[in-house]
This record gives sequence, C-alpha cells and structure tokens, in this order.
Amino acid sequence: MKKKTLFCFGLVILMTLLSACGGVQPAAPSTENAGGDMTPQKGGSIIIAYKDDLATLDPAIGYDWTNWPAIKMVFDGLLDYDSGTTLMPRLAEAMPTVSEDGTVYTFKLRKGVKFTNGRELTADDVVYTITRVLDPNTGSPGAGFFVGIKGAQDFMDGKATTVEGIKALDANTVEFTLSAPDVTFLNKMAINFSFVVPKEEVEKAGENFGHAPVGTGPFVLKEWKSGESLTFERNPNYFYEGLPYLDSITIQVGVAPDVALLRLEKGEIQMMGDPPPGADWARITSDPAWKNRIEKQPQVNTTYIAINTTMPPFDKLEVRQALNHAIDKQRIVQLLNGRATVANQVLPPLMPGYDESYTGYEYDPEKAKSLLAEAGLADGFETSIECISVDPQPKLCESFQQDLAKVGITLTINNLAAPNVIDDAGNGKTPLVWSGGLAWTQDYPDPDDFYAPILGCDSNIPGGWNWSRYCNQEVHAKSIELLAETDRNARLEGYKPLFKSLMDDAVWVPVINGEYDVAHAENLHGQPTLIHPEHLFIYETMWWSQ
Amino acid sequence: MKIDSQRRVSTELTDEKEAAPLVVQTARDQSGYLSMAWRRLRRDPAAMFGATLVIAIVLVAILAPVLSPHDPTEQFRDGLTPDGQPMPSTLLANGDSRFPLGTDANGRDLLSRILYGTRISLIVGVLANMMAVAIGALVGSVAAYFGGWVEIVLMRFTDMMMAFPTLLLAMTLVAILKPSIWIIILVIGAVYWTWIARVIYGQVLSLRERDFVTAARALGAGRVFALIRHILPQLFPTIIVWGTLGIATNVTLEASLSYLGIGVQPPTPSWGGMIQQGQSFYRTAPWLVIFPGLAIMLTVFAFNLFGDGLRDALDPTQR
Repeated sequence: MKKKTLFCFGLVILMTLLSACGGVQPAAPSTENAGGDMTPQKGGSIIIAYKDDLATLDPAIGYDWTNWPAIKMVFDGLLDYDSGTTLMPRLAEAMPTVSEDGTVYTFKLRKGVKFTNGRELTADDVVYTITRVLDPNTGSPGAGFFVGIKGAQDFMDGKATTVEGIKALDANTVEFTLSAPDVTFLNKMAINFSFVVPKEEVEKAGENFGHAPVGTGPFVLKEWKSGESLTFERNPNYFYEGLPYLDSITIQVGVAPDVALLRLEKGEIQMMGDPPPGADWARITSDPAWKNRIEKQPQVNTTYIAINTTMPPFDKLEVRQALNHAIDKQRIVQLLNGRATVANQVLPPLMPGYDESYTGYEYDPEKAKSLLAEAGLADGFETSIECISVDPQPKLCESFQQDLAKVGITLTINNLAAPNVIDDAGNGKTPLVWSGGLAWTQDYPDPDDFYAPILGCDSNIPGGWNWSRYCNQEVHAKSIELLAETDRNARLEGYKPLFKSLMDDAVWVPVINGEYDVAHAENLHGQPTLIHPEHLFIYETMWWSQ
Repeated sequence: MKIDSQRRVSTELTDEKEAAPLVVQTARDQSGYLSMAWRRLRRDPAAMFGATLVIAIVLVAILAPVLSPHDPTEQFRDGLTPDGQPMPSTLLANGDSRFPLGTDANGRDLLSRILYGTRISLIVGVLANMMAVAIGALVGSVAAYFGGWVEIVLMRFTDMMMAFPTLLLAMTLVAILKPSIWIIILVIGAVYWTWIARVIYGQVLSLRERDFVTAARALGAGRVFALIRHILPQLFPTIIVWGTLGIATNVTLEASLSYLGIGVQPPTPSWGGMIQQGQSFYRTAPWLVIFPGLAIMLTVFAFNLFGDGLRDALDPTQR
C-alpha cells in the first residue's frame, strides 16, 4: 500500500515537473533567487537522500553533515542565526545582558515553550544541557567549546560535581560566568552542542537518546528505520507561529550520490543531501532542464593538508614550506569541476578577518626542491597521507602524489573510512592528512573557530582536532587576548598577524575553499536559500510550491 | 583399513578406464607423448587462437613502455576538459588525438594505463598461479600418496579453506597485510591452491595404485623417491592445464581486489582499479569502464581458450 501511494506521489511530481519544463513559464529563477514575490506556502512532504547513515540525533554527540542539520529539526538553542550570520534570540526571550567586564551573560528564557513530551522548558534544562556536554562520560566532541565557562575544567577533571559558572537564577533566568572574557560565547550558544535537552527524557532513554530524541524543535521524529530512513513530522505546538512549512520530511540514508541523482531525475526524491557527483556535474549544469534545480553556495570552509609537525622530517620548517610550494592547487579546483577556489591561508574568504593582502605560498616545484635541499633532503624521502575513501577525495590525493613525486617525495596514499582517518589524525599517527570531506567548515562566524579548535594549544590533545599537533605558546597567548577584545575591528585585525605566523610556520597546506551544491526538485525552495552558512540546511524554512 | 581397501577397489574401477592413455606412459615416454599433444593442439583452431592471443598479451606486457604513447601515471595538466571531465576517446567522439582512448578522471592517458595494466595482471596472474600450483601439487600429492593421518589433516584443511568464500578470504587477508602487489600475489596464491590440491589429490590417489609404482617400490625405490620420480611426471599435464586456466581466474581475482580498493595501489595502473575509479562516470564517460573491462575480458578469454585446448590435447580422455 505504502509503496503504491509513494509511486503515485512520485508520478504527480514528475508530471508537475514535466509540465513546468515544457510549458510557458517565463523567468521563474530570478524571482526565486531574489527571494522576492515567492511567498512560502504551508504543506507538502519531501524525501531527501543521503549517502551516509545518520548515526545519532543527540545534539551533544552529532558532528557531521548528515546529522548536523537534522538535529536542528528536533532541538533549539538559546540563540540562532538569521538567514546569514547575524545572531538572534531563539529559546531566549531576547539577546542576553552582558556584564561590564564581559564575563557574565544572563539569558531570560522565552515563556511557554514546551518540549514535545508536554513539559515546559525551564532554566534548569539549560544548566543540565551544558553540564551534560562538558561531562566526560557523555563523550561530546563539542565539550571544548564550553571550557571557557568558570569551573568547567574542574568539573571535567572530576574536582567538582557541578559547573560553578552555570546557574539557574529562577525558572526563567540562566546565568553563565566565564573565567575570561570571550566574545565568541554568544556564537557558542547557537551551535548544536548547546541545544537544550530535557533531563528526564535523556535519563529515561540513556544511551538510546540519540535514537529517541525529545526536544522543543519544529519537527518530531516519527519513525526511524535503522539504516534506511527517518521520518520527521511537523510539531503542531511549535512556539514559532507558522513554522515549519513542510508537513513531513523523510531522510533516506545509504543512497549513493549517483543513485540519488537518478532518483531525483525520476522524481522519487525531492532533494539530494550530498552534492551531485563530479561525473555528472558538467552534464546537469549544461542542461537547461536543471536550471532552477541546482543551488550553489560557497562554504565558509578551508580544506587543507595537515602536516604533523612532530613527525620527522616535517619537524623541519623548510620541509613544510616545500610542501606548500609543491602542491598544485589549481589542479584540485579543476578536478572538482571548478566547484572550489584556491586557498592561500587558514581563513576562508567569507570569514571575517580574512587577510586580502596575504598571498601565501605560490606553486613552484623548483623552489620546493631547493627548500628540500636546504633541509638536507635533496634526494627526497618517503611519506604517507591519509584520505577518506569517498569520491572525489582519493582522486585528489592521487594528484598530490604526482605533485610530490615531481619534487622527489614518494607519497603513499592510505584511503580509509572517515572515523579511522579522524582517529589516526587526532592521535598523531599519520604524517600527513587530507581534510577533504572532513574539515574544516565554520561552527560560528568568528576567526577563533579556525584557530582554537584546530590549531590551538588546547586542541593539541589525543583525539583533538589539531591534526598538525601544533602548539605555539606565543600565538596561544595572543588568541586569549583577542577573545577579550570587544572592539570588533581591532579584534579582526588582530587575527591577521596570528594566522600569518601560522602560515609562516607552514603547519598546513591550505588547498581549497569549498562550495556546497544541492540538486533539488524545482518546487522545493528555501527561505531564501536551501543552504545556510552555519546549519548547512534549515529544514524548518524549506517549502513546497504547489 | 577397511575404508582404505574399499576405496582402492573403487578407484581402480573408475580411473583405470578413464586415464588409460596416461597409464601406458612412463617418464621415459614423455617426449613422444608431448609431440602427440602438440599435434593435437595444432589441429584445434580455438586453442591456437587462444595461444595467439596469449602471446600477443605477453608481448604487450613486455613491450608496454614502447607501445604506450605516454607515462601511465602522468596526470596531464591539459588532460581534462576545462570543467574537469575526462577527455573522450577519439574512437567514440571527437577527442584529443594525443589520447587515443581518452583520459581518466585524473587526466591520465587511458591507453597507456591499459597497456601497463597488462603487466600487473600478468605478473599477478602468473606468479600467484605458480604459487597456487606449487602448494596445491605438494599438498594434494603428499596427502594422497602417504594417506593415513597426513591425508586426513591435509585434505580436511583443504576442505576448510575451500569452504571460505574465496574473495572474502582474500579481502580479509589483504586487509590484515596492507595491500601491495607482492601481498596480492601471496594472498591469491594462498586462497587458490585448494582447487589444484583437490584435483592432484584425486589423480595421485589413482596413480599410486598403478603397476609401475608397485614395480618401482618392489625394486626397492623409497616412498619419496617413487612419488618424485614416478608419480610427479604423470601429473605434468594436469599442472600445465591448471597452470594456464588458473591464470584467467587469478586475473579476475586481482581485478576484483583492485576494484574493491584493496588490490594494487595507485598510481600503479591495474584494470580493476581503473574500473573502480571510472565507475561513477558510467553515464558521462563510459570508456573509463568499457576499455579496462574489455582488457580483462580478452585476457580471461585468451587464457581460457588456450587452457581448454591444452587440456584436450594433453588428456584426450577428458573430452
């Protein structure tokens, strides 16, 4: 029965599409892109297909592109972004008040917000949520974002049973005290890890909370067929009037991108979660039928080769610099069908603080060779790189292999599953690692997000994301200073020399700044776009034009 | 003891007739027997066609550096279209004349890669098969000839190995040992010998009851001497046939492993790996899978034809 209705549904969509393509429908795209006179409509159901399985919906745990936007369907944070990078209150009634010295943040909660189990949200839930993320037993990859809260380190080390700096003043007021001023703290209140969970449901479900999530969000998880699909339905009591637009969203997992594209063409799904495969990119972008069905957005992302600075011969600066001169980045852009731009520094161009005047290391194999000779490695050496085994990453690593061969370095490629690469890189077991398909895309629009979590001293711990195993105390001290700087311009200027010194030390080969592409049904729209800079997708504002 | 004597009777009944021409042969008659086989082989057009193909493939492998227009690992800067697509083959569309079969997803010349891929396929196919035949012949003949607990241990072990799905076993071994061409050869040899062991075992079981073996033993030949001097030469036709047919199987096995990403590692060109890398292009650049696929097919076909012909020529009763 179910199959049949699905099929009919698909047919209807197909027919609508056909009529839309064949009929006289002038100039729809410009209005859509401008977000102008197309008013969102309520209703409709869509199916989205992803390659990777969705492991969890627990906001404290999920940290990949499949679960990141899906978690936002079920949960909310105190703050959120508008369609761009501006923060606005969400579960909070208004933006918090900040103390004179910039260390105490006081949030008033929006009244009458209910979890989908019927209980009203209180300040205690917020205290519980952040404490839970910091608790080592939770194993949250986001704990590092909150260590700046007073007493967090003591709590994590087991020296205290509560976090001193998180207090519920009354049922609707929560106060955070930081150990040092941090202007990025507000951004951290808008990332998934701080999304509020109800204590009783977490305790009831235990380990299974990621599969039986209860939150305040715009959707409710209705059904989870393990390894197959997840169905979300509208939360009828959602506190934001009029949201979400869609009645239900089904996420199918385990669908390879080439298969997903075929199914999208047949009208069986309405959106691809993964970017369309490179093999088909030229075909669909040159096909007029696809004109209104592909959305391209540059990402606030830098993809890089992390150089393990503790592993010989990469402990030598000249060798790291040689690597920077040896990689032909333009070739990588071409191999990605032009769906990226060449990167020359740690920060991506869309990140505030990006240094326009910095030009980085130019592609120059001869210079690389002479640098290697200076380091006493004129005859080259052998080394290896880890890459994830998902198209197109192995192809890109083969390009590096050839680039390095030209300067005398013999590169062995180890193609592994993503968790293995993250594990090896996080524990310093590989000399080089290609971050393609893994890192690093902004968590929040502040340059600190490209320093502290991936190049800072605090992240240079076993299992941390500092894959260069790099810690420069001078830079570290500077970054702490910058976190306290409240003058935004001075702050952003301050990051320029910080990142320049990292580049002078050649801890990475920044290779490309990526873009995200979504192929979708013509009737599916975003508000104003499907892709969002922080959340990737915002499912609650997607809508279907009848 | 009882079982043993029963089997002796049954093998005598079945094998005596079938293998009759072999029985009259002794080691001394080998040359005459071979020339007869050669005459039979020449009269078989399919086998001769297979043989020609095999020779051609071997020549391609040896002459790959001469025949290839380019270095098979060179990723040409201009070997991709501006939007990053592989260049089409000049045979299929108006491609670049420098790349007769087009380029792959990294802008490498497909023809050169296929020609060099022949080397990998043959080296793996032949060496792995030699290893498999050596192990198989040793295990099979020792088990059959010595019998008793030696036979029980060896043949039950063989059965156990055969019970594992070949590809799965090979995958597990490669995953543990880290892939390289020598590991692939070892692994394929290590999973493929069981079939040869079974065949050899059956043959030796019947051969050891022959009069010429009994005669040799009666004249004072030791058991090991009789096995090596009198029985092994009789296995020669079987070993030749399996040594040829097995290459085809091993070429496919290597292609499968490389296709799964655990075979020969990039940038070394291997047909299976090429298909794996090209498969996502099946709609827009089908030549990436068609040409390496044809190469595998042709090689397997050639060795099968030749191997079948050899079997018919060396052992007419098997027809």
